[in-house]
Amino acid sequence: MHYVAIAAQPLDVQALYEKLKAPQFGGIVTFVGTVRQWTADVETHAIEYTAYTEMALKELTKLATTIEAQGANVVIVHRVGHLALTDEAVFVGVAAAHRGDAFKWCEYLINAVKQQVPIWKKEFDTDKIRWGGLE
Amino acid sequence: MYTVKLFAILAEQVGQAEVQLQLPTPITAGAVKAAMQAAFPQTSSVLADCLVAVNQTFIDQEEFAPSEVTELALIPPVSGG
Repeated sequence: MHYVAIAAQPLDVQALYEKLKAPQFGGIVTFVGTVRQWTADVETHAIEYTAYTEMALKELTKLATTIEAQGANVVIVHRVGHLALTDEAVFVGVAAAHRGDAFKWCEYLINAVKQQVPIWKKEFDTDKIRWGGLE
Repeated sequence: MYTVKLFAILAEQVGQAEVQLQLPTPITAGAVKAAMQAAFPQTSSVLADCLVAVNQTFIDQEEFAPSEVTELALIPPVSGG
C-alpha cells in the first residue's frame, strides 16, 4: 500500500525505506532531494517550502496509485517549512519486482512531483530571495 | 463573491492567503485570472504563468456552474523537489 505525505518535520529516510520492503519485491530505488548550496554561481543558504497541502496530497496519491496499479509500491514524502543546507526536501521510493521498473518509476515520479504537485520553494540566496519556477 | 486561495509568491504579492473576487458565470480559468488581474494588477506577471484549480484539481478550458465550485485556487509555477 502506497504512502504519501506532506511533512512539517525532518524526513526519517530509514523509516520511509522500511515501508517499501516486502517479499514480492526484489528491487527498491529511492531518491532523496536535499538542499544544495551552489547552483552555478548562486549560493543558497536555506529554502522554505510551502504547499497547498490538501491538493498536493491528492496529486501525490494520483501519482502513487498509477504506479501501484502496475504492481509496485510507492512512498513519496515532501517537506514543508524552513530547511537548511543538506536537509532532505523530498523522498521518493519505489519497490518493484525487478530493478528496471524500480529505476524507471522512481525517476518518473520525482519528475512528476516537480512538474505537477502544488509545492513551492522560496530560496534564500546570498544575493537575494528567489522563488523556484519563476527564474 | 468567490473566495480564491493564493499561494507562494502570489500570496506575498497581495499580502493575503485568499481573496474575494467577483466572477462571471460560467466560471473558467480565464475568468478567475482576469478578475484577479483587475483587482490586483501587481500580480499580472506571475498570473500569466499561473494555473487554476477547482475543487483541488487543475482545470484547463472547462466551464463550471457556481454550484459545482466549492474551492478555487490560483497555482503559481510549482517548484517542489
